[in-house]
Amino acid sequence: MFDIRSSIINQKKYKVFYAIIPFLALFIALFIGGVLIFFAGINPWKAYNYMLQSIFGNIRLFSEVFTHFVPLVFCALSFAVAYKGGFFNVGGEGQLYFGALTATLAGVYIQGLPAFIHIPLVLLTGFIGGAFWCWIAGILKIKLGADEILNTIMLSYLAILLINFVVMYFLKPANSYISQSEKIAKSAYFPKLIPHTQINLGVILSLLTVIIIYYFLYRSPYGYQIRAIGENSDAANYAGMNILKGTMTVIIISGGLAGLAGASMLMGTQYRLTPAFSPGYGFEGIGAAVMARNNPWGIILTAFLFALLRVGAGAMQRGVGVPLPISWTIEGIIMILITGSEYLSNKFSTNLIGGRA
Amino acid sequence: MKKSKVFLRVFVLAFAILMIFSTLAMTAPLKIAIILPHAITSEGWTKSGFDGLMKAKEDFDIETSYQENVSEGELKGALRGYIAEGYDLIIVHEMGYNDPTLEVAEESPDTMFAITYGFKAADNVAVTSGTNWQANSLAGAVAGLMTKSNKVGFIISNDSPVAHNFLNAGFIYGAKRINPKAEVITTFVGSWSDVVKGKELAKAMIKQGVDVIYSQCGVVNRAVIEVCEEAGIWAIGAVEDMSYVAPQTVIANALAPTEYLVYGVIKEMVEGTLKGGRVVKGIKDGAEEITFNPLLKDKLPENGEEKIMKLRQEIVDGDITLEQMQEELNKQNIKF
Amino acid sequence: MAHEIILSLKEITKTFPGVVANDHINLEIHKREIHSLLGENGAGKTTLMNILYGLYSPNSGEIVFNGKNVKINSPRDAISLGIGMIHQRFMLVPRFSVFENIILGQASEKPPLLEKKKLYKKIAKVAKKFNIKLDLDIPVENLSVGIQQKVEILKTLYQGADFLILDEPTSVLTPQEGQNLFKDLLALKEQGCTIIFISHKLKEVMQISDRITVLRDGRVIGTKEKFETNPQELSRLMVGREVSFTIKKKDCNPGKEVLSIQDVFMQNRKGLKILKNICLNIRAGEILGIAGVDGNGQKELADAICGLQKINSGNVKILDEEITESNPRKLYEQGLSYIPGDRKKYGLIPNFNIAENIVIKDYYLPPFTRGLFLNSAYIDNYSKKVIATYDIKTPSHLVQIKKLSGGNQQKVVLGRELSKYPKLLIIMQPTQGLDVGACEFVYNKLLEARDKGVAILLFSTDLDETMNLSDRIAVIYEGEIMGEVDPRSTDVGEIGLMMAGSKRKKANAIERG
Repeated sequence: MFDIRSSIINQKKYKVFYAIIPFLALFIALFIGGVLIFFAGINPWKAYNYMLQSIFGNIRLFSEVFTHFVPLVFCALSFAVAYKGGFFNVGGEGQLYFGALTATLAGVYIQGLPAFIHIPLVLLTGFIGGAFWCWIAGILKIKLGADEILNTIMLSYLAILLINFVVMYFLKPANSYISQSEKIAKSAYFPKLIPHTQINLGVILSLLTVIIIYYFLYRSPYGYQIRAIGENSDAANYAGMNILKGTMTVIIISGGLAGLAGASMLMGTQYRLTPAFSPGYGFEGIGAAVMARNNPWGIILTAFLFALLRVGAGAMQRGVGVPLPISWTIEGIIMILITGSEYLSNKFSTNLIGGRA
Repeated sequence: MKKSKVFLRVFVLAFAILMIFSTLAMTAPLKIAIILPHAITSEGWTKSGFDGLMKAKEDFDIETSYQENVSEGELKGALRGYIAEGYDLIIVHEMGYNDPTLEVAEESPDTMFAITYGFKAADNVAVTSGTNWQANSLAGAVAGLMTKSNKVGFIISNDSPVAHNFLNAGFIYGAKRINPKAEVITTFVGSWSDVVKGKELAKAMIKQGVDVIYSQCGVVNRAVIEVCEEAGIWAIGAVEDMSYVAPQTVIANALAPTEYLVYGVIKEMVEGTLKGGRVVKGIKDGAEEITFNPLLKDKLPENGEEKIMKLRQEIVDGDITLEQMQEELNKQNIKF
Repeated sequence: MAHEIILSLKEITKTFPGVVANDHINLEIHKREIHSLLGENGAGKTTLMNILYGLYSPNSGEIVFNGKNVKINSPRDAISLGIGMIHQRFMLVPRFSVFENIILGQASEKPPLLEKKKLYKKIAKVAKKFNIKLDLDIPVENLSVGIQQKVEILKTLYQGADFLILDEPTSVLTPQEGQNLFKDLLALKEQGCTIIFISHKLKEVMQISDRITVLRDGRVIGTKEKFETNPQELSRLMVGREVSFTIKKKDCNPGKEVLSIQDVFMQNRKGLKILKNICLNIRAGEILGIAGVDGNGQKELADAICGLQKINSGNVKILDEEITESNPRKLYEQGLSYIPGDRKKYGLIPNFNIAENIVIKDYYLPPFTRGLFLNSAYIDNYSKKVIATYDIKTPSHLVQIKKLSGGNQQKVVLGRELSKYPKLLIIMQPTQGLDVGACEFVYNKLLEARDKGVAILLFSTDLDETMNLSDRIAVIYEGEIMGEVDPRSTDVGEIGLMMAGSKRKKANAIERG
């Protein structure tokens, strides 16, 4: 049939278009950011130049990108998996906190284990913690029909306050005036891949998780089932899939991944739990996932971009005094442009294909 | 032959450049940076620290930089960034970042670090702190002095050990000392910037009969004072002189300008006297103070100012310490 | 005959990147005629009408309306010319009353006042003129689809349109509602309206039109006066080849009983009885058709057999095995295939590709899954085979289902189910939304399956289809079987009465005997 074949041809064109979009968005956002920086009285060229130099000029500073990259990858995967399974988990932040809490317990109170046992154990408890927190939202949805967007976000606030409380009244060493837990045992630290940098085992684990999630979602029957439920739960039901079980699996995995974000922060950079543990990776992860269109490979790119922007924003402020809100604006513009362009390209493609109905 | 000539030239050139740079470095001004936990626009704690840096920049020949809104996860990166850029003094303006700062400081012993309101110091880490209780106890005393309902309110940002053992203990002690019948209601906002919640808490206190409120909570302070103005009750300004917000409402100000501490650290650095170790500065050192709103002095009860000043003198003379206060409150079975 | 030409389209061409949707279209519409645009899905009918209604602008060509050369850039332009369009999907606000829906989006004459009474009278006048009987105060959500369509028509007329475009209006209607619509359209024509009727259904087009234009692949194939042509010719023009209308059916050769349903009752959550005392049985190699107006319990009955809904009492047996407590997956493994009515909602996952949709019921079984992972090589080969066997027109097995035409989508579903050689096939609305060629294909495949010994339970609201395909017909009305008839010895009249609720004494007797 003529029209279908031509739509395929267009699809190829459209794919190229699709791939260019993020770069175009980045470029436009940097341009608008440059204009803003200019109006703040700073030479934008100097600011960007400085940013690039300070990020890429020094391996130790460059490695800071991975401080953010690792938890962002986990959080973005958490959102993406849930989204693919039709569950809108916007509570990654709370699950991250709860995973960090359980991981802290396993890291602080279990001592004397060799690293090759202690590290997986702490990761596992982190996973379970995050999964548990998400499971609550899932149960509320499945049993009571409560909307998960509301559930997960509210549970996020609850988790943050709860961790605040637990740290201060239970985890804080008695003689400390600062509200923070003890450090986790050295045996639960991620070994550094390059000494004196932030490039540690977490980087490998996060990339490995991307691969696992990809194979899980697109190559395994479970992932197939989850995607089917997410795309069209009616059809999945008619095809004989167990919707409840599938949704629950998604919820556990999604929450667990967010919990791993918390555990990886704990084991890789922070080593102790504090009330303001995460600077919002759970929310930023949603952005990274949406920007990557929930594709695991894309998440590597977007998480890296977000991490880069975070480090770059700091560098620009340190070096030439670019106010932080301008850097946030740049990040915001990138997100708006990319999500907006997705809408546009969707329209573009439906015009192509639906034109002759 | 030719090769060695080229080599020589390069060598001489390199040496020359090195010389120029090293002399430049010798004459170059000190590079001083501050790392702030929140945005510099957030009034109170963060802005005050930033102002200290700006003031120092005016007074001394220094090169300055700041990074705001640095979360705990970003702290080490920011510190390392400054270290890599050759900063001489890096001030961390958040007591909660004490331990991670020490860890990074250990990596680079040639750089000087300072932590405001911290607890743990090191050879290259100077901790400079206010007492956290002296101005607060005087604020409590003023509250005890002014209350007619014998109910006074204290609004604190985050629930923390410092909040209980220093801030709240000092405030309650001061209030009870002047007015044994005074009852203190303390609440926590849980944030430095949640203005709406701060207002709600203040309103709730007023409903409970509170007629003097002291707020120690960044941007929220201003909002609380406005609520007090509407309700026609007394307010006490915190950190800086806030009389201008509501001249007929702010009866006194408990000053504890972190600006002063930041400025002090930089001054010592410039003068070459800054050393690692922990220094606590109080009223005696001019780091804290209680001041009355001159417009409202006639509203003070008889001998009121004298009573407060007497307590102040006891504190300055060291007749009262934090431990004594806590002990006293424990004896009276008062939780803080 | 001298006809006044109200509209002529000259050399209209519309291309979408890579696709020529309309290729130099020339078309003349006479005043006060019902003119049908006939063509298969994707022939360019809707695109052409969207151009006329101002939703698309053509790449080239001109539109002459009432003798004047016009440019139509938006629906507003079209309406001001008196052109109105009724879309397949209605643009109504369910909670609003008929009256409110009609005045919605209309500028008031005296803003900000609405002048409800005056408008009400005006609408009533328009309704009376065109003989449309509607209660203006009922919320639209309480109306049946057919009546909602009337609201749309009245709305368009009220806006001053006398040139109506109806895009596949009958696709959402029951046969009876369709007949009512035709009556209304004829009345409109009497009152001076010109109507363009878009359809791919030959029978309707032959019934209602004055003239018929056939489109194929974006080109006009020909325009015929109705009395000059016949369905045979039209279908040949439409499809491009000869299509047979008579279904060649071998004699039925039933084997042993495959499905037996005994005294099935079902209540919904509100306690309403959805199924009452259903008793049916099907033997291998026969097609049992269930006739009935949509919404009389067909979906619930099919769902109940397939384990998707719980019944309150009674029992269902497949090959003498009790399945009342079973689940859909187990039943599928036992040889029960179910093709639900709304393909895109229940049968397919539109964003998945063809291969993924073909394995939707078997993906977890070896050899589709090997070890922990899907066996994509096998899945690819398998789906390519299904695509070849069922003549699915697609450049690749990796094309998203939503990009296929309805006919090809249905072929994917049929291919998926029949390739597994089920013992029992339950199929609902097998040809809804399909064009002539695809229908023919589906019928042949179903009969082929029957001849191979599959027991088929056919639910269809298309009575012709049910009569042509079935070996026996049971009629369902309000969740109750009204009786069974033999399609060879009955007629539409008898079944129609049963569909409206009258029981067949003789049939009952046979059943009990």
